[in-house]
Amino acid sequence: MVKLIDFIDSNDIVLIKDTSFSQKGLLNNLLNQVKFQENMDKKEVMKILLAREKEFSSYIDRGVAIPHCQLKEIKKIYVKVAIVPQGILYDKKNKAYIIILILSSYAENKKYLALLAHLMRIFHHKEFTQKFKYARSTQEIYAIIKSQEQI
Amino acid sequence: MKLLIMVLNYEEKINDLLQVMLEFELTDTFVLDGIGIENKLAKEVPLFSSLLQAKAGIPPYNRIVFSIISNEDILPELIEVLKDVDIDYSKQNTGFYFTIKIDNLFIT
Repeated sequence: MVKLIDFIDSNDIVLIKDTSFSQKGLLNNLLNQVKFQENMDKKEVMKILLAREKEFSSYIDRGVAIPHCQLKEIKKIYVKVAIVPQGILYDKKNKAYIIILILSSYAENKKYLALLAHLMRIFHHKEFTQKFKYARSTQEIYAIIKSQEQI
Repeated sequence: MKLLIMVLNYEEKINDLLQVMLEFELTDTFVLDGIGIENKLAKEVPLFSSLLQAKAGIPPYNRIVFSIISNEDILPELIEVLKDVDIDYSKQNTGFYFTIKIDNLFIT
């Protein structure tokens, strides 16, 4: 079974204190931190992500959003996790505190779907989401994910 | 290679079950609507209507999930993770599951 921990280390987690970010600003910030092994045009990736959000918000519940898309140019799955302790208005209705960006190759389709389903399940737990939301360092967040996924 | 067949008596939990299947990358999976023999007969053949009373507490309809699994070893973990979404096959009336060997598989 896939686990979030298989796709990230503590460097892939960012704590964002600036609450003035719009959805676009936040996604741009996260995307800029992705170190693609492939030659990627990040502006094009942004367009795809925003188009997806416009079509249907990736906000799931409990202050969690999972913006995601598949890209034909990449060969693996890239994941970045952002925690915004004060939250940002993610879409017209919802404030997000936890944003998990997933960019996947088409070849990794099964793993990509598995990761989305896994995140849907683990973030359904109120207690876990609260712990995550109130964590104050990237190391703490990493430890919380690790302990949750051992269960 | 095995065919996993899971009968889930709680229809409202089917999406939770399918999401867990997806977590295990079991994408060769499909779902059928089902009804138990007692419920079918009790509803449609008056002689058997008392069966409905006897089966009180068991939802009338169920969902049947067919999934092709190449590695049977994942099954104990799958059943454990299902408990996390309140699908506990050790509890009465949840349903049942079993595997059967697949001799030939043709997928186009």
